[in-house]
Order: sequence, then C-alpha cells, then structure tokens
Amino acid sequence: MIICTYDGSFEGLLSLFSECITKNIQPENIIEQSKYEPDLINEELFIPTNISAANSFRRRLRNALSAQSLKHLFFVFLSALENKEICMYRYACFGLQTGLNLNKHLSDKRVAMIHDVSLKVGCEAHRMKGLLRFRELDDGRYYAPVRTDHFVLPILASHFSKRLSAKQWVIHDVPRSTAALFDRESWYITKIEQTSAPELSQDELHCQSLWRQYFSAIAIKERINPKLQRQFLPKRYWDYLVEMQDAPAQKNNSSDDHLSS
Amino acid sequence: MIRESALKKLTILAESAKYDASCASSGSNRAHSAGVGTTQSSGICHSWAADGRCISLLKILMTNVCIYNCTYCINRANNDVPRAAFTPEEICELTMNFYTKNYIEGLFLSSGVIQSPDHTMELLIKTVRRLREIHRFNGYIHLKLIPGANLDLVHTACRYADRVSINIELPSRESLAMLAPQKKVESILLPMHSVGETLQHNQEVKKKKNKPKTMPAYTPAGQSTQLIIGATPETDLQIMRLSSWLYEKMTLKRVYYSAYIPVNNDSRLPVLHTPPLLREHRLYQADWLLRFYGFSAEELLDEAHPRFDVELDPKICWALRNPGRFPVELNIADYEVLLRVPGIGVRSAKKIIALRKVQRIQYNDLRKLHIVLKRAQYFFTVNGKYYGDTPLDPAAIRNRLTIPYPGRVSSQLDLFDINRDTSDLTSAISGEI
Ligand code: SF4
Repeated sequence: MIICTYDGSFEGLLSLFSECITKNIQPENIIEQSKYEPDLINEELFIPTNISAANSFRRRLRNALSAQSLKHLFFVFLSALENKEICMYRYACFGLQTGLNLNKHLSDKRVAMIHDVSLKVGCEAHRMKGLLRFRELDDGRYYAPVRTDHFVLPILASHFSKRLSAKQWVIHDVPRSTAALFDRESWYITKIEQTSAPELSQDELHCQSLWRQYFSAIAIKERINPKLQRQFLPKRYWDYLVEMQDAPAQKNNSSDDHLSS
Repeated sequence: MIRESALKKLTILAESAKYDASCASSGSNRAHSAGVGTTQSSGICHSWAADGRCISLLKILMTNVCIYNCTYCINRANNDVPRAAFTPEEICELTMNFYTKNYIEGLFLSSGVIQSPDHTMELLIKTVRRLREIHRFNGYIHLKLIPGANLDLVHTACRYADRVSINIELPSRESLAMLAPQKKVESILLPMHSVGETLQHNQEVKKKKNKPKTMPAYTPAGQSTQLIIGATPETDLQIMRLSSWLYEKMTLKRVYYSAYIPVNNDSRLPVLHTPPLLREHRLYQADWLLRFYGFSAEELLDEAHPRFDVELDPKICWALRNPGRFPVELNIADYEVLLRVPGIGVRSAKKIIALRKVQRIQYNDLRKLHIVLKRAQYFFTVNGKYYGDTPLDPAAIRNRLTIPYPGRVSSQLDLFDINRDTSDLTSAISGEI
C-alpha cells in the first residue's frame, strides 16, 4: 500500500493532492516526510512541492467548492489532529464530487470531522487573539510567548500585522520552538531556540502592575465565581497571562522565567 | 518604578466603573485607517475577572466626583468615598499602553457628573478626540452619554465612538423619580431617541442609489443601555416590555441587565443578601429570544405569569405552555419554527436547513448537528417518529427536566450549571439558549 509523503508545507500538501488526483493514486495514508518510518508492508511515495501545481489545485478547489471549504482545509492543516492529511484529502475528493453542496453534507463523516476540527482551530485562534500578551523588551521590540493546542501562529500573525502594524514584534510559539516575526511590513515564520529570558523594559513592569491592579479592581466581590472564570479561561492558558502571574519581586523574575525552558 | 499614585487612581476609577455590565467590543465596522489598532466585528474577550465576567475594554470613569445623588450609586455626592480624576492624556496613555500589550480591545469611558452635564460631556469628548486624532487610536471606544447634556455634544460624541450608551438603570418612571430624583426620564430618553434617529437616517442614506462614497463615522456599533434588576419592584414582564420597546422604537443594539448589589444604606432601597443573579440570567436568556429568535415579551410572560421560572429557561417554559405547537417534524419545519424548539439554537437550525438540502434527516444525524437532545427530545419528530423519553405532556416533561441530581444545592449556587449542557462558552453570559 502506498504512503504518500510531503515536505510538511501547505503547498506541499496541495501539490500532493493534485498529483494523487491526476495520477489516480489511492494513498493509504499521507504523512510529513520527516515523520515517516519505513516498514515492510507499505511503500513510500514522496511528492515534492510544486508551487504552480499547488496554486492551480488551490484555484480548482476554490472554483469547485467555496472559499469557506478552503478555509476549513487550511485550519485543519494547522490542527494537531493526527491523520489530518488523509482527512483533508478525503474531504477534498468528496468535495470535487459534490461541488458547492459539500458543506451541506453535515452527516457525512468526512465533512463533519473537518468542520469540527476547523471550528476548534478557529475557536482557539479567536481565543488567543484575546489572551496573547505582548511584553515590551528593552530593545523596544514587543514579545509574546504563546502555548496553544493547535498551530494557530499564522492566524495570530496575520491578525496582529494589521492591529499592531507600527511595532516590531515577535510571537513565540514556545512548545513548537517557532516564532512569527514582524518588521512593520510583513511577517514570516521561523524556527527559534531561545536560551534566556528576554530582558523587559522598565516601562513594561509598570504597565504590568497597572494591569494586574485593574484586573483585580474590576471584579465585583459579591459575584466572585472562580468556577465560572475557569470555564471561560481554562488553566492551561494561564502560563503567559500577565494578570494570572504574581508581580515579579525584581526585574525579570518569576513570571517570565519559564521562557528560558 | 511602580508609581503608587497611578495605581491608586486606577483602582478608584476602575472600582467605581465596575457596576456597568456592558463589555461588548463587537459590531463595529469602522474602516481600517492608518494608526494603531483595528476592530473585529465579532468582538474579542481578553480576560475573565474573578467574578467570571469578560474583560474586553478598559472600563473606567474619568472621575468619580459627582454632583448628583442617585440613591443606588456608590459615587453619589453624599458618599464619603475616595475621589479621583484622570486627565484626558492620562486616559489616552493608559489605553494605548494596555492596547498595544493586547490587554484590551479598547476603552469604555464613563464619568460622574462634574460641574454640569455639558462640562462632563465636553471633557469626555476631548479625551476620545485626543485618543483618535493625536494617538491615532483605531480600536474600539464605548462612550457614555451624560444625561442632560446638550444634543450637539451628544452627536459630536457619536462621531468618535464605536458605541454610545446612556443607562436607564431603573426600569420605570416611578422608580427613577424615587431613586434618581435629579435625573429626568427625558434627559435619558431624548438623547437616546435623537441618536437612534440619526442612525436610522444614515441607514436610509446608505440604501439610496446616489449615496455618498464615504460617510463620516457615527457610532457604528449603535447604542446600548443598562437596567438594574432587583432594586425596585418591577416584574420581569415589565422589564421585558421595556426592553422590546427599546429594541423596536429606540433601535438599541443591546440592553444589559445588572443584578442589584447594595452599596449604600438607604431606607428606599431593599436589603438583599445576595445579588439576584439567577433572575439576571433569565433576563439575558429572554433578551436573546427577543433579539434572535423572533419571540415577543408577551409570548414569554403574561399578567398571570409576570416572572420567569426559577427552574427552567424561558424558551422551554414557553414550549410547555404551548404543547399544541409540538412536536415539529425536523424534515419539514421552517427555520422560524425550528428556532422555537428548545435545545435547537440558531446554529443548529441553520445546520438542519443545510443538511435537508442534500438528504432526509435521520435521528442519528442529530448529534452531529449539535442539538441538545436532553431538552429537544420532547418537541420534535424525525420522519414521523417521536423520541422523547416521556410523552409530550408538560407536567411530565417538567418533571423530567427538573429532577434534582446529586450535588445540586440550590438554584442560586447552581446558577451556571443549569445551562451546562448548552456546551456553549458564551451562553452563561450572553443568555443564548
Ligand atoms: S449621576 Fe451617575 S455617577 Fe452620579 S450619582 Fe448618579 S449614577 Fe452615580
């Protein structure tokens, strides 16, 4: 049986889809090449990225399906779902049969699954648009560490490139050792290894203490409800939330220590 | 380097602003311009305070000094509380700092009445103008209109704000006269009406063929207001009627409900040990039904039942009073009819309609459509078959849905568990059911 592999990029995956469909290859599974482990039963078929094939396939999908379907595919690509590639492939193939009706087939597993996962990724991205916290570094750059279930970094980068277009910033996906860098014009994503906690600016600490103060002042004590708070703000998102950390006793202590890990 | 005075001032002016329930940062469509910030039509929550309320905007008073003496208000003139005031520049700096760190979506600025309503309104305008024009802030601004301020000032304020609000607070003329004698009802309704008319006029201009290419911004996210619940004797029915009137006649975008919390000792005010949170929650649920589900106040309550049920949400109560309308067949019911089925929300109803275009619906499909079967089961058929675990009999269904389960203490403590099977993150606050 054939296991198709690709370089891990979205374009690579679209190239692969295009190749499989035109050559009528039925992949048993689709895996990023670096994660592929050869075995006796299966045969690997690596399909290199071909930008023009990827683009024309993207156009084909956009014409046959809808912009919404393409967005679903991209969001699922960002997800942590195992086997996401083959799920995307089956959704795309089914879509080429159904055309614009694809997203109405809500009881079809291929569709329901893509919708669910896409929704999860979209929700996490939306949530992080609110929960991400920038810190001002002493070199004037803005730095935001994040930890997310799905790889929503590209969605965040695109959002903040419009919102904070006058700042130079870095959004650091800590567990994935990846960062989005913005230079006031465009952003790109790159691997980074961080060895020490970045130095914060003087004003940053003042700003953080104002925010913590505001955060505690705005709660109505007659309505305190930690359960409700956690329902909206699950603990796994607290690590980098300035308001959920104690004020650092000195410069650069405690709350940002774990950046170095 | 912590500047104590800044912290103190912020504490006073945030604490005195916290009783305003509004938190929305949604619904604005101001064009993106050069400068700092954007607005997102869906709104973004940035944090949740220890009381579980969303924090989206920096909600502060410009000053908590006030010449008025509203009975229910912590900032009233007669109270001996610490007073403070921000300068326009201080507010701008704070907003810009918080915004660029992504703590907030924008500013919600209100104020006690200092010197006169006009003077206060002018100071508020000066602040937001500075924020827009000097700091080139393009994020969300919610601005309070000051009752009694000149209408020209009110309209100027609307040019800089994404949303404006003027709080009615007490849900009847009598209550207002008793508890806020210095505020005339007209001083609240007149500006609201005038802003509403301008918004409608703008809508009509936009529809015309020869509409101007660009229209100056005018409070694009509309206006809202707040009602205090439980300080005065109005029934839920009276409150719902007022809300429908505000939505229909004043074209308001949102009415907020704020459970009364006693902050002053005054013989004209009731003594409450806990704020009426459940009642507030029911009002939000019903409000949602008014705005998105096509219900009217009179369908949800009537003179014989002027208050919401403690145990069940308003939509189910309506269904149980109207058993003749059920069950509905999911394969043929119109969208409006589907929306009235308990356990089916806007999203599920849309999904049902979409799926029906490509196939007949089977019972097994329902979970994938995110229908809350626990409540919905009694009110529909699929291909003619009824799936409820008891016949469609209001008393039996009520019984089923309200059986106490282990750990259930009281409806007050249990407030947000009642809704837990909606599995909707926003439901507890927004009231979506
Ligand atoms: S006018 Fe506003 S701030 Fe002043 S006492 Fe009345 S409610 Fe309080």
